[in-house]
Amino acid sequence: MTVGLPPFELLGRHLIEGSTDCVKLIDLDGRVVYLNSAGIELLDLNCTEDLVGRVWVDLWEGEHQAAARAVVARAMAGERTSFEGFCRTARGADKWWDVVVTPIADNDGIVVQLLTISRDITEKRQAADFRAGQQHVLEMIATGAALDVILTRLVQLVERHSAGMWCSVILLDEDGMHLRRGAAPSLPEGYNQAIEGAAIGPRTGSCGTAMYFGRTTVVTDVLVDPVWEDYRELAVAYGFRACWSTPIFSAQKRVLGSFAMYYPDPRPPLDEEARLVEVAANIAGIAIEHHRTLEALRRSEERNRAILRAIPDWMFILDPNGVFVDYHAKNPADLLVPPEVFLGKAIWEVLPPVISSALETAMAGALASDEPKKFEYSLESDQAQHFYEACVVRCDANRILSIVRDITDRKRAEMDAHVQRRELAHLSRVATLGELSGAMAHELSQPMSAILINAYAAMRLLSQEPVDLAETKAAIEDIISNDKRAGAVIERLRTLLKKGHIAFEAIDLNDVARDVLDLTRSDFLARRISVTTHLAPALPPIDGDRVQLQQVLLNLVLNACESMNASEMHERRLTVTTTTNDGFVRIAVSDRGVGIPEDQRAAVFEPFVTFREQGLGLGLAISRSIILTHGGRIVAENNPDRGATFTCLIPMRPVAATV
Amino acid sequence: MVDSTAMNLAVVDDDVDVRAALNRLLRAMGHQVRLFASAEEFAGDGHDFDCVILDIRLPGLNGLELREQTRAAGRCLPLVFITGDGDYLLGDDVPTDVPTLRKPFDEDSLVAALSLVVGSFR
Repeated sequence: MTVGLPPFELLGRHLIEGSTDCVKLIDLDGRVVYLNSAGIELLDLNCTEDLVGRVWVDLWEGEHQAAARAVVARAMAGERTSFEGFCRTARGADKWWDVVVTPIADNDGIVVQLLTISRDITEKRQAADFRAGQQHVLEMIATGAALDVILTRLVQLVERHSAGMWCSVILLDEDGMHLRRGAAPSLPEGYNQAIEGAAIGPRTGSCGTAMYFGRTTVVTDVLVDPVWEDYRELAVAYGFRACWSTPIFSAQKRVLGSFAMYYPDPRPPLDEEARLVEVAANIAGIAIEHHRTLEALRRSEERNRAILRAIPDWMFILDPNGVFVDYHAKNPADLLVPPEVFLGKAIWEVLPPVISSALETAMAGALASDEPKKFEYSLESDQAQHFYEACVVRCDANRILSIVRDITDRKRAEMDAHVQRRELAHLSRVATLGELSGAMAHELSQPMSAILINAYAAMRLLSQEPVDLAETKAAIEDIISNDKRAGAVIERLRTLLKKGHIAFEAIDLNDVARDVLDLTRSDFLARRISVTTHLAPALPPIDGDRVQLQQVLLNLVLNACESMNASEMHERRLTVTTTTNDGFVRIAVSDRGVGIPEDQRAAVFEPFVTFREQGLGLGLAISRSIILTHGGRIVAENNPDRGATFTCLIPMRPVAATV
Repeated sequence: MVDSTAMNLAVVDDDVDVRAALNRLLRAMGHQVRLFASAEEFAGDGHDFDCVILDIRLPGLNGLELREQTRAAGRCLPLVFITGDGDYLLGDDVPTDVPTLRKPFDEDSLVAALSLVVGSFR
């Protein structure tokens, strides 16, 4: 059966010579005694003699030499073994090898030679290296390394993978128009500086053009391609002849920058290079976008911190059980309770029951809706009372934010203003009564006269014979009724002069109108003013303070009288009307006087604006403030023909309250 | 005594209580009294009186205007003004030759004013 088969030794030689791996035989001294033809080619040698006779272990460098030595030692001991190592070819190309070393023994089992088969795995190793480098860059992105460090690493990775060129990353400014330095560690610094801040455009070199059009731009020869028109001299000065650049996009396909490869000679890109630049651009895109996101976050946090620093309010973060989790106070020393005391404690362990229950209610409300809930409270400290406003809002499902503002100053001012308003209202009433004093005297003089005259009459009747007892009794009865009449006038005066608290109650504005018209009746007589009333029957009550409402109406009536001083006798007519409409009760005082000067209509309710000869000019301002506290409004209008009408609209008393 | 002489008097005042009181007192003095609530009502009456007790402040025609009107008509009314107003409201319009009583006035002033007017007219 041996016919046709070559001898075993011949077969081995064929196999060895036909192998694409580097096959060598090494003697017991470790010297190369045989090298196949594939080996000559792989090691960039001219002939077998270039290697034969050299010690195999010495071909390896550094740590790989040690590994080779160990492998040889084990093979000499009869063990078949392998390793991966790195060595340089005769022309200086770096190559990785997968080496299998097999001992060759004689018939007695004694090792006489070693067979080494080395396979060139450079491409596989490079791909793995690139993957590892890429992985490292992604880790740097994930761990938040500085953008320029990441991009430099990426550029170096690509440069290492593809010899004979330089890479650069250029960023596009957020304005979308200008180049910014990214990373180009191998490009000359002068070139980097020359293009910094340049505008992108259709002929602005490979990068500027790639960004401008948003697509990969390949220039095989800088000297002829119009893309380099604007920067040709610069490129020539730095020795660039070919350059391709691909845009770096964000996830939303916005151009963030470009990744470019520069070559010293004119040439087209290899498929491998074109693929590499795309991969690198993708990674750069991730890095830049991540960096911008972090930057935005950092800026927003900085802004938030700046806002917090500027806000004088206190902030407390609570969990749904009412436990203080965190706080913010510009000056923690201002807190009435130090943070270490309240943090981790529940609100009712720290705050007085009134406040903690109000806070609890607000928290429940805030948790149930997205609406902020507000409440005010006061606390004693340093013998002083402080007022606070808390605004409680839900942060997320299990956190509540309570923003507490010190409103002590505002509260004090409000209280002062309240007192001042009351004082002013009183003063204004006194002033009004001063104006009315003549009318008052007249109003009192009538019953006083009747009393005195009746008393004289009774004296006379009693001194006559026979005494007319019926007439005497009638005289005394008239004395009593007139005294009561005088008493009523005094009582009205006293009410208006009263400096009391405001007491809201159900008020019939018709009663107010009648009271005021009674008080001013003699004034109308003196001024020859005829008064007409149109009082709506069964007027619904409003919620108000009788004295204040009387004051408003008295003021409006006296203003109306004053405005008609110069009017013809028959024109001196004043009308008081009450109506009800749409939840409001309306009371209007209309005159036939001079009206409101057109240029002052807007100002009539301003303090110290007056059309009257007497008076402080506060009447209408105070009237407005009174009507506002009644939830209503006051309006001044000129009548179509002559005079003016002042109208107060006050909401009806809620039905539930009219028990 | 003048008041023993029965006089024919008119009272013009818009205040019903004052009118009623004057009516009672003047009748107790023995005078005859007619009451008017306004100047217009009085002007329409046409009776002659020994004296008219006339309120100055009246709705419509007032006391002073009533006097002017009658003077313009060539008549001279024997008048006593009564008023509840102070000087500043009356101004300079009140004639000094007419006795003027400020409400409330006492009986003696009223008697003195009446006798002055009636005496000067008789």
